[in-house]
Amino acid sequence: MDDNEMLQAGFRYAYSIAHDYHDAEDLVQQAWFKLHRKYGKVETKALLFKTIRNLLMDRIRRDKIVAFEPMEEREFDSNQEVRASMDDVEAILGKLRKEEREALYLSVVQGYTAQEISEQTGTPRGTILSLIHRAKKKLSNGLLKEFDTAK
Amino acid sequence: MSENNLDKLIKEYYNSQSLSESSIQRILENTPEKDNVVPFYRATWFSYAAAACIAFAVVMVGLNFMQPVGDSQQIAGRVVEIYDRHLNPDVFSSDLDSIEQVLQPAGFSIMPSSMETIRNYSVVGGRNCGIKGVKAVHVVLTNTQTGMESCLYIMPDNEALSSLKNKSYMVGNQPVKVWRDGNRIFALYDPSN
Repeated sequence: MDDNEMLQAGFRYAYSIAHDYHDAEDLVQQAWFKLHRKYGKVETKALLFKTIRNLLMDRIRRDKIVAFEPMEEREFDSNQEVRASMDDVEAILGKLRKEEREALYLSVVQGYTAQEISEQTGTPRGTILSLIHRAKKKLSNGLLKEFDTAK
Repeated sequence: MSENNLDKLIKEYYNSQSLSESSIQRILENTPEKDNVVPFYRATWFSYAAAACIAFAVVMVGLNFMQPVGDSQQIAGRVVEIYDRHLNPDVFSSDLDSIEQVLQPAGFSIMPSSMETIRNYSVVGGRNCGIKGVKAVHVVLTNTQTGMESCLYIMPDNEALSSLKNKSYMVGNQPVKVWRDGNRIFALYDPSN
């Protein structure tokens, strides 16, 4: 993985948690610089992700950012196909808790197992599974609601 | 929505998010070099500071165990030294007045203003001597209770002896009692004390 791909991966991970382009850009840049100052290079994607996560946690502690409240849950018809726009996905992902977005991204996009995410984030494996499940359910429900509204 | 479709949507969404080419370029151009930071405990200044602290601590501990050696202590030490030599008096007499008459010390009397200070002693004799360039009289005494030889030093008070105070100076574990009396300084050493 070259520097360009590594930066893009770091950015997407930062974006999955922060859900803001500029915050994600800031985070990946800070992490990139930090690792270069310390080791002279960014050896692994996992290390970059961990550094981004630590920086974000520091920022949250400093700014005392309040986590988003979970979305209202409701039943949905799992067989119904929904063609959702990227704007809808973005809006719904934005309403998820950052822990849910992070677990969802690492699992679905990066293809990490629950055990690997657990090791990476220091969160119990059971919690990770629950976060992924809830995130997917909220996303489906949200998209279904958007679909209903559109109809 | 099926699990697969949902996953596809999530991947599609995140893969559509990317850092702009200009941002990547800016980050790569400004990437700093590795810091050659020496841990503080390996830094040269730290070694010097640690060595200085240790040396200071050693000196302080040493000073704590050493007794201050000032003029007063030297004079008290000299009194004990003279006693230890057991020098014979120039004049043998049990009367201080008679000793003074013979030795004729310049400018001072060897008679204390109160005999109370030496009431437990009998006078054996006296001799002229000097301490720190000051002419003094050494009176040999005997402790009437213990029979031990003791020594009384009488010196005219002057600037050279100004550091002496009315107190007992310890020489080893032996006290030398010093007091001022008029224009004189008396120093009494009794090994039985």
